[in-house]
Amino acid sequence: MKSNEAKNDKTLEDVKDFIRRAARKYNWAVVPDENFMHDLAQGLLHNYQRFGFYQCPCRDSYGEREHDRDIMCPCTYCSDDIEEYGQCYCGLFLSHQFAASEKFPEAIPERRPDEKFPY
Amino acid sequence: MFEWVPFEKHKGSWKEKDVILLALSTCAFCKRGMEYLKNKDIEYRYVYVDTLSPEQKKQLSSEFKEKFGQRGLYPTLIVDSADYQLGFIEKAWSRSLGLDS
Repeated sequence: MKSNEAKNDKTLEDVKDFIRRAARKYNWAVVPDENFMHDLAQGLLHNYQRFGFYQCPCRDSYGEREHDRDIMCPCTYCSDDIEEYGQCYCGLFLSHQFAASEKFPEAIPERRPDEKFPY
Repeated sequence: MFEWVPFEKHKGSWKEKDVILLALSTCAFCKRGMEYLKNKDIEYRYVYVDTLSPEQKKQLSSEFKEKFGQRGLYPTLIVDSADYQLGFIEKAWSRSLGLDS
């Protein structure tokens, strides 16, 4: 039985607050480009509305909480990616050094193990 | 490859290569990749994989792995069914499309 549950109790501003709070908690920066951040927040909101949790907007998976805990934002791989590349897989969270560099995030290698994917 | 996939077409004047984009509707790098193709006026086909059924996703993944030997990520750019790029890196896409100067 699928455990995901569509929800409609959050707004885009709620998602942006969640992003800012997560960044503060882990001492990361949020990507400074407001359009890019807005697009990612929209993606997270869409996933929340269809799955009931903040599944990473840059990965496709089961859409089921018990299978996708590792890619609930901020994902399990975020800290290691920020340490190695200065950014998370989506480019939403950055190291402060990366954020100050004025570089724009780009694709980085996928750290999620292959066996975690549904197909 | 992918004959059955319900691609949408984005029209453009540049049609020198067959360009396919595998994207997610929620992914900001996918959106940037699409903006890049649009700005270059490149004609391409795309599909938001997250909108496909589980069976279709499985088939798409299987065909991609059979052809290229690895998992597709998002966005994935496929050029002439031969070259591919995982993720949006502008220089790499330009190279695959033969547009780097």
